Amino acid sequence: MANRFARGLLKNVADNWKQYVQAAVSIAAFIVAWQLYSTYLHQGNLSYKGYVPYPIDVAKALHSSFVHRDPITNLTMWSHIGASLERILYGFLMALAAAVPLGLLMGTFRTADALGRPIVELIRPIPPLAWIPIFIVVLGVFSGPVAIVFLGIFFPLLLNVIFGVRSVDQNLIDAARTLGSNRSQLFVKVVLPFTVPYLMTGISVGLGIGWMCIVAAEMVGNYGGGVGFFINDMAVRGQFEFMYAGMIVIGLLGILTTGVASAFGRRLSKWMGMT
Amino acid sequence: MEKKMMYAIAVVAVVVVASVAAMYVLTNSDKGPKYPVYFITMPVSSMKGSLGSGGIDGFVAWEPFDSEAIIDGTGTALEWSGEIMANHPCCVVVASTDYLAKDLGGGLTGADIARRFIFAHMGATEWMADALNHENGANYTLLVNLGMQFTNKSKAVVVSSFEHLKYSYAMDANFIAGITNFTETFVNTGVITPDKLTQGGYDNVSDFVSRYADDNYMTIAPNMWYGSSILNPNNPVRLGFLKADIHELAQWVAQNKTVGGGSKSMLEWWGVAVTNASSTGGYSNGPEEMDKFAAGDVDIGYLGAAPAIQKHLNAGVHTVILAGANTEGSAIIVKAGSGIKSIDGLQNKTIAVPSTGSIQYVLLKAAVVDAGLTLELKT
Amino acid sequence: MSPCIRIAGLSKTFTKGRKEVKALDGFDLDVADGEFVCLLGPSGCGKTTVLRILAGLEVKSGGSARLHGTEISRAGSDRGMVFQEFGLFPWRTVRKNIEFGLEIRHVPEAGRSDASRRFVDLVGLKGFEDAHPKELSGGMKQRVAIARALVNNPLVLLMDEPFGSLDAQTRNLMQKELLRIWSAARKTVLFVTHSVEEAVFLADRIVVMTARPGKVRELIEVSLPRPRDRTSSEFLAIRSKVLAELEEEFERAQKAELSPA
Repeated sequence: MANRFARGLLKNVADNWKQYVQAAVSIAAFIVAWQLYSTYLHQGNLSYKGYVPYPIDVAKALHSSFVHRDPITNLTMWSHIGASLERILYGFLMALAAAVPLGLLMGTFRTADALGRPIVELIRPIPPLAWIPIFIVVLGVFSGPVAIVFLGIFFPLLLNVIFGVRSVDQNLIDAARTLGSNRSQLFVKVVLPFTVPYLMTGISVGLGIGWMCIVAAEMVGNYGGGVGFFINDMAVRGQFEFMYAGMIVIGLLGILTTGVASAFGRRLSKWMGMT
Repeated sequence: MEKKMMYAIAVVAVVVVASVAAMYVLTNSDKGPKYPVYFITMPVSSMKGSLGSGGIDGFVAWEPFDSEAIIDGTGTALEWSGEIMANHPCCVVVASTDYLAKDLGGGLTGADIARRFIFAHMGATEWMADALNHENGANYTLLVNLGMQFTNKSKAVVVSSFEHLKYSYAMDANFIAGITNFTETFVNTGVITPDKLTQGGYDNVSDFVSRYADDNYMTIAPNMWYGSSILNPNNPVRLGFLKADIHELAQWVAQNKTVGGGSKSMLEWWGVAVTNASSTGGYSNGPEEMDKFAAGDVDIGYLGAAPAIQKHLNAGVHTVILAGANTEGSAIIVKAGSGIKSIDGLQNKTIAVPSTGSIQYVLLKAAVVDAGLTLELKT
Repeated sequence: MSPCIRIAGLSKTFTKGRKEVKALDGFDLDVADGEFVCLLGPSGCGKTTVLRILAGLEVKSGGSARLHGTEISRAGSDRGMVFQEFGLFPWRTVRKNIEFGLEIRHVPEAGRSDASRRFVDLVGLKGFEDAHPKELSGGMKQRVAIARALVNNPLVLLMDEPFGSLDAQTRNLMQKELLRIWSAARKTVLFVTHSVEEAVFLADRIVVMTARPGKVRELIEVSLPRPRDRTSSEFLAIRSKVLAELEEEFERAQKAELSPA
C-alpha cells in the first residue's frame, strides 16, 4: 500500500510540477530575504539581532528538536506534535459534534435560529484566546486548551452549516417534492448533500483557526508539552532558533491537516452522491 | 568471675550495636516504589486560581504571589526558597550597554547616570533592610505602606512577603557563586545553547559571570556628590520593573520623597530623573522585560537573574548586571488542607512553574532531587 | 369521459407583508388524457402559478383543481415537473438523478437500474449515465430532467418554460425531441411558455391567458398533424391568430391600468 501511495504522490507531483516549482521558488525567495535581513541585523550589531537568527541556524535547531531529547522535558518534537494533534483532534471532534446538529437545526427551523442567534452573536466576536485564564481555572489544565480549540473551530463551522442549509437551491427542493419526497427524505437526500461542501469549507477555516489558538492555549495548559508549549518556552528562554523551528512545524502541520481535511471532503462528497 | 562479666558486657554491646544498626536500616529502607513529581508551565497570574480549582496540586512563584495564596487560604507554603538554596540571588538590576555608552550631551554619558542610579538603589536597599530590622519604627510602617502602594496587595500579604526575602545589592562571593551555579545549570540542561557562550565572546561560565556581573558601578566616581541638581532632565532614565513584584521595591523606595528626607527622593538627591519605561505600569515577567531591552525601550531595569542571563546569552541582548536587588523570596505552595508535609508528598502531584528556564524550576528541581525523587513533565 | 385535469374557478392571492397580489382569479380549464396543452400569456399572468398549484408546490386561495377527480393538495410523483433551471442534483450522476424518484419509493436496486436504463435510452442519453450534470449541455440536462420525471410514471407532466434557458438551435431540437418522447410515453402534458411559435409547434390546444389577475382569455385548437412545418401557411395562420390575441390582451391590460377602474 505504501507503494501505491508513493506512486500516487509522484504522479501528483508530475501532474502539478508547475505549481510545485512556483511554490519552491517563492519559499526560496522568502529564505533569501530572511538571510539578507538577518545579516543586516548582525552586521549592525543591534541589540535585537538574536531575535532574527540565520535560516541555517533555524534549520539546525529544527533538525535537533526532532532528533535530540530535551534534558528538562525529555521530549522530542515528535512528542510535542503528538500532544498538540491530540488537543486539536479532541477540540475538532467536539466542535463537529456540536456545530453540525445545531447548524442543521438553526438553518432549518426559524424558532431554533431565533433562540440561538443572540447567544451566538454575543460570544462569537470574543477571541477564543480571551477565555484562556477562565477556562484554565474552571475547566482544568487538560480540558482548558481543548475548550479553546473547540471555541475556535465551533463558530466558523456552525455559521457555514447554517449558511449551507439556507442556501439550498429552491429549484432542487421543488424538484424533489415533485418526485415524491417527504420532509425527512428532503432533508436527508437534498439538504444534507447540498450542505456538505459548506461544511468542508467550515472545517478548513476552523482547523486553521484551531492551529492559531493552540499556541496561546498551550501557554497555560500543557500536559505532554505540545508545539505551542515548545514555541512559548523557547521564546521565554530566548532560544529563538528553536522558537522559529516550532513555528515552521506549526505551519507545516496546518497545511497537512487542512490538506487531509480537503481530501476527506472530496471523498465524502463522492460517497454522499452515491446514496 | 571477671571472665563471665566480660562475656556479658560483650554480648550486651553486640546486641545494642546490632539493634541500633537494625533500626537504622529499617527506618531508611525503601518504603515502596517512588513516583516522580510532575511539573507544567503556567503564567504566574493563573497559578492561584488553578490551585484553587484543583487544576494543579501546587506551584512555585515569586513574592507576593506566594503570600497572597497563603493569606487568602488557598495554599500553604511547603518550603521557602531559602530553605532549598540559602541566600540564592533572585532579582538583579540590569542596564542596557547601549545606554551606558550613550552620549547624553554636556560631557555626560549613560554610564555616569547609571552609576548615580546604582548609588540611589544601594541607599534605598540599605534603608529597607534597616527598616525591616526595626519593626516598631516609623520607617517600617512607611515601608509597609510603600509595599502596599507598589503591589496593590493587602497589608498582611506585604508583611508576610517581607519575612521571606532579603533586600541586598552586594555582588559578593555568595552572589557570584549563586549566579555561576544558575548559569552552569542552564547550560547543562540545554536552557542555554552551549555554543552561545563562545559566540558571545566568553571563554567559559566563570569568564562570563565575572564580566556580566559588573560591580564597577558601585564605587564612587570623582564628580559625584549627593545633592546635585538633576543631571538628565531631558533624558530621564527609562526604568523597567515587573508589575507588583515586591522583590523590586527598591526602585519604588528610591523614588519616594519621604524616604529621601522630605523634599527630594534618593534618586533626585543623586541628580537622576527617571520615568516608567512601561506604559502599563510594569511588565508581566522578566523575559518580556528583556524583549523591551532588546527593542531599546529600557535603559535600566529590575528583573530576575534567569531571564537576564538567558536572553543575553541566547539572543545576544545588550545588557549587563550592575547590582543585586534581592535574595530568596520564592516558595513551593501546595493546596491548603491537602495534608502534604514534605517534598515526598509531592509524588504523583503536578506543580506549576513559570517556565523551564525560571529560577522557580531550578528551585523545584533542587528540592525534588534532594528528596531522592525525579521531576518530570506531566503527560 | 371525465377529463384528466379539471380546474374550476381557481384563484390565488400572494401576500408580501402588507401588499396583496392577485395572481389568478377564476381560472377554468379542462385537460383530457394524453392532451398536450400550452399555457401562454403576458408576463405575470400567473401561468407558472397554475402549474405550481397543480404540482402541489403552491396552495390555492380558492376554487378547485382536480386530477382524475381527486382534489390536488400536496406535491407527489403522480405529477412530474420539469423546470426552466433544470433542478438536477449536482452531486448525483445522470443515472442517479433519474433513479431519485424510485429511491424515494424504495424500489430495489435491480428494478431501479433497469428502469433508469430504459429511460436513458428514451431521452437519447445512452453513454452518459455516469456523467455529472456539470459535464452536460443545457439540452442534455433537460433530457435528464424529463427522464427523471417520467420514470415515476406520472399521470401528468408539468413543464415550466423548460427550454427558456437554451439557445435557439438547441431549443428547436429539444422541441422535436420532446414530441418524440411524448409520442412514446403518451402522457398528458401542460406546458408553459412565452414563445408563440413554440406553443403552435407543440400543442394540441393553446390557452391564452389574460394579464394579472389571470384567467382564460381564449382557447385555440391546433389540429395540424405532427411533425409540423414552421413555414407552412396553416402554421403561420394559427401563429398570427395567437399573436393577435396576445397583442389585444396587452393593449386591454394597459388601458385598464391607465384609466381608473
